[in-house]
Amino acid sequence: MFESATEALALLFTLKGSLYLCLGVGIGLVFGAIPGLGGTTAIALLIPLTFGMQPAEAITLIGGVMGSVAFGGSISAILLNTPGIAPNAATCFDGFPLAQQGKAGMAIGAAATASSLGGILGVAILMAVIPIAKEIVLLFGPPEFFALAILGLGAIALSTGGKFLRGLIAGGVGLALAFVGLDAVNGGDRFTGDVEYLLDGVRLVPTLTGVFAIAEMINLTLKGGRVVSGDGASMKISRVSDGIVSVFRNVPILLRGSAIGAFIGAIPGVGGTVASFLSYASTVQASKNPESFGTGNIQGVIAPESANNAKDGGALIPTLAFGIPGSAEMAIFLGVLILHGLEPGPMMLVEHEGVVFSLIVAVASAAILASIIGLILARWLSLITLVDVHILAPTVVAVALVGVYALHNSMGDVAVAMIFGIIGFLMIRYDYPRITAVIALVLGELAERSYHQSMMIGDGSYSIFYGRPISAVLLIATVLIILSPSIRGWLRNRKREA
Amino acid sequence: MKSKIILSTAAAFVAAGFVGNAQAAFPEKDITFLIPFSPGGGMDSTSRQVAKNMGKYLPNKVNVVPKNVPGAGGRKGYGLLAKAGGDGYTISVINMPGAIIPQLTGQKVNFDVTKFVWVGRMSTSPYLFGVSGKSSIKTVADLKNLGRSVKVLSTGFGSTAYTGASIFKTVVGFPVQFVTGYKGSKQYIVGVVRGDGDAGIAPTQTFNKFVKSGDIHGVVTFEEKSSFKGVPTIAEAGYPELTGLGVERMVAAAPGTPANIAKILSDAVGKAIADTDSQAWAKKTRRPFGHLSGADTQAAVDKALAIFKKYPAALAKSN
Amino acid sequence: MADSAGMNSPHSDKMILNLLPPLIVSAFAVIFLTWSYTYDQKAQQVPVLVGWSLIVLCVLDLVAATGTALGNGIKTFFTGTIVGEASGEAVAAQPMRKVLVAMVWPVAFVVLVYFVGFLISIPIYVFTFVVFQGRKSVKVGAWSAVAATAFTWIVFSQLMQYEVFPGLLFGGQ
Repeated sequence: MFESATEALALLFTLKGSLYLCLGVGIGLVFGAIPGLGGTTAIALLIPLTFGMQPAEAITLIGGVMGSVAFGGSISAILLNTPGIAPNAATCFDGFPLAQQGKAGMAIGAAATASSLGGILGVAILMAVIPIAKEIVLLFGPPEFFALAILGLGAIALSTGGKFLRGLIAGGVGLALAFVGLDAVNGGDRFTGDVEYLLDGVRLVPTLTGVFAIAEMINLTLKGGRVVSGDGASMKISRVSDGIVSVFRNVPILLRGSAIGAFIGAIPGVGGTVASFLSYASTVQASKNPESFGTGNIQGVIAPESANNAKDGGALIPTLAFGIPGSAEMAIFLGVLILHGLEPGPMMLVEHEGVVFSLIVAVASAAILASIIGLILARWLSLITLVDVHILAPTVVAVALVGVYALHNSMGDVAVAMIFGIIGFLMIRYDYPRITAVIALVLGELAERSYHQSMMIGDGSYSIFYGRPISAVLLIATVLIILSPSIRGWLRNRKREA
Repeated sequence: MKSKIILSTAAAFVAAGFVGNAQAAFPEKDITFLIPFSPGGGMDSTSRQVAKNMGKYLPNKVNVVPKNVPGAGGRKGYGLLAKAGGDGYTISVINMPGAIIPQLTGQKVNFDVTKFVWVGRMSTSPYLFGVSGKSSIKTVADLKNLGRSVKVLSTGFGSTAYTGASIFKTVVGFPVQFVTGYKGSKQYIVGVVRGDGDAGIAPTQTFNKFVKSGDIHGVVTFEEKSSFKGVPTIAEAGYPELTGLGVERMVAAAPGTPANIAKILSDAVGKAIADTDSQAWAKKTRRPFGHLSGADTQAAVDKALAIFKKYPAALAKSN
Repeated sequence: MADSAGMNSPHSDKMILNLLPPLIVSAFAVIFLTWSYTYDQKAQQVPVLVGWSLIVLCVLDLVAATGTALGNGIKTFFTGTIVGEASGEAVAAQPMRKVLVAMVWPVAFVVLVYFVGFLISIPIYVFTFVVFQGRKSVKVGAWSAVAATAFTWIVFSQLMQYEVFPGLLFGGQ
């Protein structure tokens, strides 16, 4: 095993290897930062280019993209309150307020550091788990996935506090939308009204671009001025190094975020959005002053950014164990393997060690390289916050929609993005949290499908959920999490009385 | 009067010239090869390989340009083919029987597979019916004598796997309870290994690694000749009419394409597959071709339809 | 949660406006629920559950929005601080006309793109937006338009070899 790892590392230090890595990182950063694009698009685009390459080279290129996309997205999240890719949505919550206070450099510095360390930790967790990867994947079946989906949904409902009611409603709407399209269990289609475009369901990329990017641009148009509040003359772009240092002052948050990211990343189909938000929400819950979040607490940047990079390590677990893609990018990566004559499956680690380690090394290196580039460019990037929003808004809208179109050459996607842009803006206007709708949209499909599958496996009895140890534990954890604020309030009251 | 005769004769010559030209000139421009699936999968790579080498075997050496049009399990692409003109400039890879199941099960679709003009078959992936390596089920007879329903894991109702398993159980006659909702064959094979259910059906290539590692035991294979040690073919098990049950990758031209153009395309597909570059690719990626001409493909499609007609219960929802 | 006194009084002019969002969501829930019932038993199970839950929540939201004693009680029950999203209050102060105009801009852009494609629409949209909505000088508008279009063209058409939608009038579908 060690020879393959060192071989993969050696490739990196060749001219060709590092060239491919840099190219991948460059593409990943740009595609990550532009709302409406993302890693999946970038990798899909690159596939034809990999035809002539050696497998290890192709994988270095793709790994480079994978490891850098999440950090690229954090840049627009921080500077424009618009996540570059959906997993950066949670970074907006505290990243953007920091930018508004003139601390964009610090936020980017923290994001860069958290991303690279999170990426490395995710890979470390993967390496630790590889020997038992198969067993882990076998432990998680439909009942466990159902319990996890419910846990995720419960956590988001909880985290909206004062907008709890509207958070639940937004979540309900998200769930309703999740059911549109082909029913994976029963085979028919639902809620499509015979519109062919809807057969694949409410498409995630245009919807999220609309709800976050377009809606935010409409909001900014009305707010006016510049991203940075206060007058420009006295504004300073704060030191990036402060951001870097802050990560090392918050190591527990980094560790927890990475663990959550790796774990959620290993669940096929759930992905970075849930991982980053759960990391954010758990950090808020664990914090001594939760009210400070949303106003520019640097921990609110570190938590999601470490998670959304660690998820790549996690996504490799089912991918390597059985050839089941842990994420959309992994699915395409597997396709590339097949194209090059490598057969993913339970023997992948045994038969294609070299290729596997090339990917791992590439992803980890990409995270570091992307962060270094980001740190160098941070000061210049922060200058965007000084640009008048009336120039920013139409530019972002235009470029985001070009990106949305480019995904599937579909104006239908652009129309969807626009519709959800309006809906998203109305949600901002009337205080319906968008993040709960988004998470519900992502988790709804998994929850319903796993529920039906579990019932079929368990012959119609609910005991399948509490009979199996893991799902039982998860369900109990869900109940505890939902009750936790009440429990804490009760404990606090008791202390006061004592 | 005389001028009229001259004019009409001239017109006749010009018309004949056009018709003659149209026939001899096909193809005059690039041909679009639709791929109703996402880039990177088996459908995509096989199609691209054939497209790559087709051009040089066509008169006028035009390009055959692959175009991915994924969506709704292939329906989007099939719909595009149905709408395309029958001039031979649009062809598509067709997953059989996946493409025809929707219309056979009464779903509303905007294409009719029986109207497609078949230009050839690129490859075929016959199924294997497998159980967990730890299962007590070993043979087809065991399936019948289990004393309870066999729990078969699969993708949703209407998918090729569901339909394949359905045909298998209808012909052999053993009770099945489906657990659907898995997103793909790898997922439900892992489900079988995990113990979510008893069995699953999928192309032999998908099972390869699992059989090799011992996680899966093959009960019966639908190949003509078994490539798994100790696993009988369906013919050896006593049901020869099911030989070949699996997924086939056909190529079709739009409805209304004239026979002579279809023949040109069919020959080009055949030569593209026989080309040394394609054969080398097939060996390297372990994806052997199983070429059939356009006419033979039509026969294969008819045979599949006949089986569906003979066993209508196979298309009904089981549970 | 910062609430102006006006919004909590039952006789506020804003009350009707406040009731509108919960009403719209309720309508959505009712349509969704009715539609769910048209499907098979298994297919309708979870959507029906979600539909009913949504209706219950919307009723609570409606009552909360009325600003009556019961409504305020519901609001207090669900207190705490919002994690993350800035409140919509800042925008709430804007006149309706301004809000509508802000929403119309990107919609108009999309319509324009549909007919003449991105490369023509982007400069027009950015220029007119910067000059008319942003009240900047023509020079700033022109430079912004050029920058946005150039960026799109370079990154998408050239670097990525993407087909940037040319518009209905010029051959797109």
